[in-house]
Amino acid sequence: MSLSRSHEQRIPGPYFNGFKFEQPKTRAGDRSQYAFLLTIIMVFALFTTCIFALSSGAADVHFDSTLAYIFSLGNSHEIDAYERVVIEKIRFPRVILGVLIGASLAVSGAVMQGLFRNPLADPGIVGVASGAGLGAVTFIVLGTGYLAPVALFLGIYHIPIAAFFGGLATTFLLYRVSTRKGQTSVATMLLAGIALGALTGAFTGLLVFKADDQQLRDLTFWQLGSLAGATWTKVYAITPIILPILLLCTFLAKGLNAMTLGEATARHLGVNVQIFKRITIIAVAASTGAAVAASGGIGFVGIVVPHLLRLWIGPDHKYLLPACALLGAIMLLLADTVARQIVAPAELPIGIITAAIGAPFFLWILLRKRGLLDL
Amino acid sequence: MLSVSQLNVFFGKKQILNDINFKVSSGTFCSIVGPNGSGKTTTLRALTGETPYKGSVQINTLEVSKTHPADMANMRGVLPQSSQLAFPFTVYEVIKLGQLSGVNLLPDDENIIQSALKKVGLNEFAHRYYQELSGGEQQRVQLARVLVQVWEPVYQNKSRILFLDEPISSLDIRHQIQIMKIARQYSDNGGTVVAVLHDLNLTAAYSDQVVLLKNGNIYSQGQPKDVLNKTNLENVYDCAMRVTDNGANNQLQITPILA
Repeated sequence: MSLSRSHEQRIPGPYFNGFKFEQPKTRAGDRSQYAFLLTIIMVFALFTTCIFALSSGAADVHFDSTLAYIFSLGNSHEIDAYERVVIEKIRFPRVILGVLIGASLAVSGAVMQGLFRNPLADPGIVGVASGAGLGAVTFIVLGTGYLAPVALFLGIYHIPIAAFFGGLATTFLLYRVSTRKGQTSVATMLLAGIALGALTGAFTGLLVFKADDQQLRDLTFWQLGSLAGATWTKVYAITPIILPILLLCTFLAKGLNAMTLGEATARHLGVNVQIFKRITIIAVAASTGAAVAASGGIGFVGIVVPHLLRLWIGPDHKYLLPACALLGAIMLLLADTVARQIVAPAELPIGIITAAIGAPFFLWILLRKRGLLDL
Repeated sequence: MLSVSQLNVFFGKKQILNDINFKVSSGTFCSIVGPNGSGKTTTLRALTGETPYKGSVQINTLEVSKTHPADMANMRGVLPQSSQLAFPFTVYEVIKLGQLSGVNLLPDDENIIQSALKKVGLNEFAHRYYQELSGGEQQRVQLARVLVQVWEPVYQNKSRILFLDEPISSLDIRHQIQIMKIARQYSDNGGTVVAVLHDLNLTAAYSDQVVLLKNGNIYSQGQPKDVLNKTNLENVYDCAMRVTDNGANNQLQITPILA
């Protein structure tokens, strides 16, 4: 942030005589300072939410113990063995998974909306998550049969990788179908999303039909979306995919900003649009794939979070994407904490909670923004 | 310096542009005029690299279709006919997008944004949402964005080009003149302007060079008073015209004769 920089008389070069320079008094319309402030607040909020999520749940772990555990980096002797196991083996991987998945869902939503130039594009709604789901289900069901050698070869990454290719294929198809001459039609995109969702759903159904009892139970829980199966293995499997993609996305910010003016103008502003689109599609597919592989279909985070943030800090992706990562993580952690508490000691699949909040929100955007969205 | 030779554009099998040849030297205001469907916008799109073409289009000796978009963005700005924004940007934020290419001498300089806002007369509008503005105001915001991109008309001793696609079609008369003056000033300071225009009187008043198109061919080109004469205009527009030369300020007046 170079807000306080002095602008006095350092203007070299042949200048436009007629263009007098005004010393800026105010920066009306600039929301970057506000965005920066909100980002800092959200960093603290995320930290607080993590501690809250670590210390709440069906098992009784005292708040002080959680703090002691964190601040001693796991070496504290003040907490008993039971609490240590609950925090270390159950809640910690779950919180980390929640942070990663929440961030990845919100960021891939925002990136996809930027690419399609449309606030309703979300991997969950336009069939990308179903495509990723098909990839994952293929390995859940056939991973011990026909595809066993592949699954063995890819180790813990086999489900995320399968989900990535499923997501990639659907994103690519979706873009081809709904974009003509650089303009994406909202109606075509949503319709193509329905068709792709139905198609992948049919194949998923076929696999479910083939599944045995144990696989069926896994599948059902997984299809509703849940962080319940969080283990360190899952964290290890998706971290090397999600973290680099989140970092990569910060480099996409410029291009996404340019794309909001349309493909032609993005090109005029110096973006190599073809390459940019390819990278973006791969990034969305990879992060959606990893998230879906670890937690199943958790919907609407990718719609609600970017939309709220655009209202608060504006659509500049340089600030929007990091803010989405933070708020996505906070929201998913809170939703997961509710999911664990509301019917304790049993728990609700988190997908039910995000859909119950997100779907009405989606309808509300449709109602309010119909004019803007050209529907 | 813009140099176009043997430019042909096809949409499928249909030939839209047919052997277009012209040069625009640095510091020149060149207008492309012609009736609807004569290929004005297609020409501009070929020159900006939006449409694939056969032949050669060179900006400061760089072939447009073979140059990286970032290097092109360094050399020229493009104002499209209309721009729709997907998200609720403020006017300030839209204009700041002009600095995306990051090629200006002072890529982050706030002064340029504020000056561009003032230049198009929208300095009171910086905080407004782009979508809330009228069509004409949006067009002026976009012009400010393009100006921010290629603020110095001469960059590294090369003349930059401002491509304007019907920049004044949605504006009232006062703002039409305001925009034409900004473009004129850009070329007076060493920049090059290539504009697609419909208004023949303003074309005559502000251009150094006119390219008159008919059915994808150049019908005539040269200085306004040579190109925009009664015979040429009647042949191209298929409409009776009266052209008078107002000797006082060397301004042509072109009016259709209403039958």
